[in-house]
Amino acid sequence: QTQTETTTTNNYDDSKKFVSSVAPQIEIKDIISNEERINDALEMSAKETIRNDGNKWISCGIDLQEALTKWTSKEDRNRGKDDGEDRNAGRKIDIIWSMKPTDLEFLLVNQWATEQTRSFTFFNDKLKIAKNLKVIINRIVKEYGGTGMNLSLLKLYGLHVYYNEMIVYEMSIPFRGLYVFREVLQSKLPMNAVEVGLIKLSVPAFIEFKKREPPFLLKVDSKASYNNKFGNFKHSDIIGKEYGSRIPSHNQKAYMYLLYPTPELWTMVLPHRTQILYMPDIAFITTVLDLKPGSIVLESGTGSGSFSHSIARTIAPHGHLYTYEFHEERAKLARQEFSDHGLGNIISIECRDVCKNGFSIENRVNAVFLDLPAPWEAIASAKAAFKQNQIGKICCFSPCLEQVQRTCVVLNEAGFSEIQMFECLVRTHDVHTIPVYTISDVVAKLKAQQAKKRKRVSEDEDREMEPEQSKQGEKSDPPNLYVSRTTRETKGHTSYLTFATFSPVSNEELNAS
Amino acid sequence: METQFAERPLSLTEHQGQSQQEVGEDSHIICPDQFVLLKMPSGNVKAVRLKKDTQVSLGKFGNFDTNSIIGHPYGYSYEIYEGTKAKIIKNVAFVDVDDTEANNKDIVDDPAKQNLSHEEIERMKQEGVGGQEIIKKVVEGHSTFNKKTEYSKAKYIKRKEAKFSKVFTPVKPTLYSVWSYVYSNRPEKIRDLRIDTLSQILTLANVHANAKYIVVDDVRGMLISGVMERLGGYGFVLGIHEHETPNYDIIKYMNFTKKITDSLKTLSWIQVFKDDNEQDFLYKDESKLEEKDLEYYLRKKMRYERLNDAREALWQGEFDGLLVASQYQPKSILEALLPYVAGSRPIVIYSIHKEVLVDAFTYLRMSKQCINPEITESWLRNYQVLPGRTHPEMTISGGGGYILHAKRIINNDDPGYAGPSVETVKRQIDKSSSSQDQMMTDAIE
Repeated sequence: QTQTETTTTNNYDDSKKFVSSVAPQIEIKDIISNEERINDALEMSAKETIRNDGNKWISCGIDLQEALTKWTSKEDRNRGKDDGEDRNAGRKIDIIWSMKPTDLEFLLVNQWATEQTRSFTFFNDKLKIAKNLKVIINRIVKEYGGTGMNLSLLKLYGLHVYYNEMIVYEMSIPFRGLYVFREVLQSKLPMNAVEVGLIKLSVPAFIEFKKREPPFLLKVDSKASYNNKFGNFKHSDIIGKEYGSRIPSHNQKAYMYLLYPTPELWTMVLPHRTQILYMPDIAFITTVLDLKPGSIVLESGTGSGSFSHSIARTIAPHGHLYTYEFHEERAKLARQEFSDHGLGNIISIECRDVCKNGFSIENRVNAVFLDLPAPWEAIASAKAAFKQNQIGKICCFSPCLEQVQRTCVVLNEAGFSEIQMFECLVRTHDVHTIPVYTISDVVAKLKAQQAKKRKRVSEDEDREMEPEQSKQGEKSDPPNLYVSRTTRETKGHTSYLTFATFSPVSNEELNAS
Repeated sequence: METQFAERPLSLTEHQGQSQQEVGEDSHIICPDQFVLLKMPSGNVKAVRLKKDTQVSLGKFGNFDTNSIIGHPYGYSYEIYEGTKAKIIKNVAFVDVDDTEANNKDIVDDPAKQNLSHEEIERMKQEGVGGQEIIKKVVEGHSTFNKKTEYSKAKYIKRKEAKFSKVFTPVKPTLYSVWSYVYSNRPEKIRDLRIDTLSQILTLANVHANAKYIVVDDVRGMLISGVMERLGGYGFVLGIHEHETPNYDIIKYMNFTKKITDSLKTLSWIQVFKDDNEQDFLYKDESKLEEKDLEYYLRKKMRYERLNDAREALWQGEFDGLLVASQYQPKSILEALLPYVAGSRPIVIYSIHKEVLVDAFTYLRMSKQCINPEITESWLRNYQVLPGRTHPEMTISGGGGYILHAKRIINNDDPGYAGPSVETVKRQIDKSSSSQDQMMTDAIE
């Protein structure tokens, strides 16, 4: 059994129940969701082996120590490595345990996603699973390639849990050198919604792990608990606490913070069905489209609903958002989310292909936001959706310049004015303390080194001189400087923002037409 | 999460009847006694409080009667003709330019090429010839105009338009247009706060209706105007300032309704702190006062009650956010105001100087009252998008300032907390610098 998780797995018991209910042909011995348990399960179990029989999962007991030494290589064991680094490069496997094989390998890989990778976490994780399975299968081939075993029958499975979605992948090697990686199962995890809270995990200084975990969404259930590599957190400890509180783990060694839900946090944790909009673009578009309480807004496509949540927050209490999404499944998911979050009154979502069939409203809105592959196809209909007797603002969001150019031509022909195009990016400055040594410090250090060398050559002679020399070699504490620096990599592009103004139809024009 | 958004949930059909204007009195019509921004062909913007039955001077572009624009919706451009009349013309974005055989190899720079003399142009202006006409004559008078490339021609016409055209566009004051007006004239007034940075401050602080915010605005009211606009009159904003009366002169350009201006409470720094020496207001029996004394007394009473109301509001705490754009040391501002911010609510501080925020960042980290402090910087570039001539603008803003944002946390004294004390952490920082282990500083939360 090969298993991979992301940080969004939060309910161990539910996962196990679910997989058995959804895929009864897969007999799961155990789904393991954190390191402690992995160790426990593996060390405890005897060398029991359940033969692989067609589609059955297998689980084997292993001798952990031996496995670690025999099968893991130095580069594989990078648990202590910062997940924020080298995220996209190479083969990033956290731990590989494997068993002394009889027929098949047993390997476990544990993965975590960080804030920076949120935007492509899903696809990157899928890629990682594929890479890891490939590594595993290569090892098997290497070890058993010449022994007459029919490796074309070998199948390895990867389990991908992403928020409330579960996907099973299969890797096989029908011919030497040909890897077949495919999705064999996809389904939803049942969620018991009681209360929604956004939670942030943090680690105190004395624990080895220094990086923060990114925020994640937890659906609070009074009977449940949440496990991760830092510890076990009871949901019941959370209920009734103020936002901003620190919640310690069961063994008091770790803690997390309860965060008040905002659209910006939601943007960071929401399940991506599409590429989403991030805070800098959301903020700028909100201002240029003149959104405020009472604004009536048109949006298409809804996508994953990132911007929709921000718009709803800004136009409340008496504004309204009409949003259109042409993908039925996404529209359904978005509608459910809006309802779950109490936004059902402010947002109306319709599943519709607006480029083919136009919008279903006219003479209604103050602002239009188009995030479509071909926004020019929707401009005529968008124009009709504006309140015709007053100015309005439109924004077209496109990643490519060719789209922007075509959009501008159509906007111009349609009579929009003040056409402007921007790009907006944000970068972070990290703050540190650094010591600032002087040249005198360097000279003193060199002198001390020389003194040490001389001491080794003729120890008796220098013994009396020693205390003085070491005093000279001692450097005083250097002054510390609080500094800031930029990061090595930063976002280079999100999309081009094209804005234009809709002018009210004048009486002359009305009379003329 | 109960819907804190919809105070009055409206059905889809109800929305059809309501416009922004009816609900929030936000006017899309040019009204008298309101500010309007007038954009001139040169690109410059003039801010005017529009009065009925008068004229507005646009300098060399001429004057126009205010009555000719009052009552019209925003979105039209006007051309001045026959003295001071103004008529609506179409607002055109750009003209498509087809490529021709012409290139600029035969063009020689020589002022003699213009046959139309300066005097003749002046005469046409006096006669009240329309700006478009003048430009046409100027183009005709240019001896080698046809030899220019189409692009050069378009540029030439645009330059002449900037000089001779008598077209102006009334622009509706919004946060963006008012910011643009202030920033292009006197950026120092708003400490170089650029619009993308301002937008991010408002979004990071999650400014929305039915909430309450504390704002320290030393940018003439640019920031607090944004907050007031996003509150829409629901909830309130408390502005803390250093003068007798706050210097928020940018607010007037926004044409806020009474509902919105009523949502602004203000306090001076000296009033923020409880002073043992201060005396309570002496309430008198109003029926016993004479008329002139009564008027004075009522004014003083209203001032006192308003001040008291603002102070009580502050001391009650549990604010939904703290926004700062000030020249004063952030640490001191935070020490005074952080206790009034509710748990997990945002603190957002703006400065044009990064070093000021680096100091504030380290203070926040040490104070253990906030998590996830982050310093960000925004970059904004606009493009010229024209057929065959699309490229970024040649000159853009050099910087829009920096933002420090963090979230307030509570329960620091929780006995369950097993981490090191502030002193220990400080010692660790100082020690770590000598061992060149910078990772330790990252661990401080």
